[in-house]
Amino acid sequence: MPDPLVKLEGVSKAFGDRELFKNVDLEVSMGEIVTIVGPSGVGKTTLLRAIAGMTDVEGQVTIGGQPAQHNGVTNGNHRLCLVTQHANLWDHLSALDNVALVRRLLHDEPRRTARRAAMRYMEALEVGGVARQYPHSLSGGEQQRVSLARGFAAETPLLLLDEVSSNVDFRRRRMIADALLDIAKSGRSIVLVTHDLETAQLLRGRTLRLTPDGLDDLSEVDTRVTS
Amino acid sequence: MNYTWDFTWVWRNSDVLAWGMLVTLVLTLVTVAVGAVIGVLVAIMRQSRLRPVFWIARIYIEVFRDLPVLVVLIWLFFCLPILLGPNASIPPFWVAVAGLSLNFSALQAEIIRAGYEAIPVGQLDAASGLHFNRWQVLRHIVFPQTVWRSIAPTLGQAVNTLKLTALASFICVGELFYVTGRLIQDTFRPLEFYTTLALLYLALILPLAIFVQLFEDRLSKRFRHA
Ligand SMILES: Nc1ncnc2c1ncn2[C@@H]1O[C@H](COP(=O)(O)OP(=O)(O)OP(=O)(O)O)[C@@H](O)[C@H]1O
Ligand SMILES: [Mg+2]
Repeated sequence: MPDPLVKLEGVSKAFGDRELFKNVDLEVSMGEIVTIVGPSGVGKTTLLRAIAGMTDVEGQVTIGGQPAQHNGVTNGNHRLCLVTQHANLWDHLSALDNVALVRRLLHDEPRRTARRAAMRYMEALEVGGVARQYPHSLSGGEQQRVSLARGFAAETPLLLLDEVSSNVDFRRRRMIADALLDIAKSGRSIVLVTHDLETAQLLRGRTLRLTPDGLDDLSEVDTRVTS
Repeated sequence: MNYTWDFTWVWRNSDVLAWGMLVTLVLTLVTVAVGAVIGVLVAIMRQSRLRPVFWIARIYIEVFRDLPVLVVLIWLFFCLPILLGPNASIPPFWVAVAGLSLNFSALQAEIIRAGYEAIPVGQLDAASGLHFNRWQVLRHIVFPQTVWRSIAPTLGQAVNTLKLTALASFICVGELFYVTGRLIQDTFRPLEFYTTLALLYLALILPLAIFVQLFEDRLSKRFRHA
C-alpha cells in the first residue's frame, strides 16, 4: 500500500478562543475522490485551506509525505491547488486569459500554447463560448465554471474544490461530476466540499461529514445501517 | 451697456496666445510626467514595512496634498533662493514644475494606494490557492489591476493640474494666464482677452475631460468592485 497523498492527523483549528473543529484525521490516496459535507459555518472551507497550507492548524498535515506549507512553491513543484468557494476571477483578464494565466505560470507555457490549452478546459466545462468575455459580464454559474477550469488547468496531483457546483444547474453538475471522475481515473486525487448530496453520490467516493469533533465517515455509517 | 467688442486685438496677438498655450501644455505634461514618477515611488514607500520609509511617505503625502499650490510656488520662488545662497537661480518654469509636481505626486500616490486597496482580497486568495508565488501575484495580478484602477483618476488629476498651471503666472512663468495679463496691460482690452482666455482653457480641458469620463465609464463596469 503506497503512502497516502494527503494525511491529516489530529488536526484542530481555533480562531482565537473559538474552537472550530478538533481531532480531524483523514487519508486520501492517489486517484481517490473524497467528499466533505457539513452544515454551514462548521469549518469546511477552513479545513481545505489547512490542507492547502493557507492557514495554520494544530496537528499534522502532510502532502506526499511532506508537511503542507504555503511557501511560494516554484514552477514544476505544484502539488495541489484550491478552487475557492467564490469564483474570484481576475477582473483585468478575459475568461480565457484567467485560465491561460494558470498554464503560463504553473506550466511555463508560452501565451499561445497556454490559450489553446485553456480553451480545451473551458470547452469541457461548456464555457468556451464566453471565453472572450470579461468576468463582470459572466453569469454566476459561468464564473464558477471558469474558476473550476482554472483549477483543472493547474493539473496538480491534488485538487481541492470548495462548493464548485453550487450555482450550476443539474445537467451541468453531472457534467462536472463526470469531469472529476475522469481526473480521478488519471490518478489524481480530489477533495471536494459540497452541500449537494447528488454530486456526492455521482462521484461514488467516500463521503465524510465534518463536525466539531472530527470527520464522520457517512459511507461506513450507511453500510452498517443497510447490512 | 454699449461696449463695442473688438476681437481683432486678440487676432493680432494670436501668436503670443498660442505660445502661452504651448507653455501651459508643456508645463502640464512635464509636471504630470515628473509627478507620476515621484508619485509611484512615494506610493511604494507608503507600503514599506520599514517604519522610517513609511513615515517619510506618509508625511510627504499629507503635507503636499494639503498645502495650497500657490503657497508652495511662492515659497519655492522667493524663499528657496535666499536659503540656497546669493548665486542660486532656478528658472521660474522649473520652480513651477517643482511646485506643481509636489502636489501632483502626493495626490498620485494616494490614487495608486486606493487602486491597490480596491483589489478584492478574494482575487489574491484565488492566486494563492493556485500557489502562484509572491512575485507572480505581484506581476500578473496586483500590478496590472492597480494600474487599471488608477488610470482614470490619474487622468482626472492631470486635468486639475492643467487648471492649476494658471498659478504659475504668480511667479512670472509665461503660460496662458500670464501672457493674457500682459496683453491686457498693453491693449486695455480685458473683456476680449479674458473671454478668449476662458474659451482657450475650455478648448484645452473639455476634450480631455470628456475622454476621461468615457474611459472611466468603460472601466468602472469591468472593475465594478472599485
Ligand atoms: N479568518 C477568520 N477569522 C475568524 N473567524 C473565521 C475566519 N475564517 C473563518 N472564520 C469562522 O470560522 C467558521 C467556519 O468558516 P468556514 O468558512 O470554514 O465555514 P464553512 O463550513 O466553509 O461554511 P459554508 O458552508 O457556509 O461555506 C465561521 O464561523 C467563520 O466565521
Ligand atoms: Mg465554505
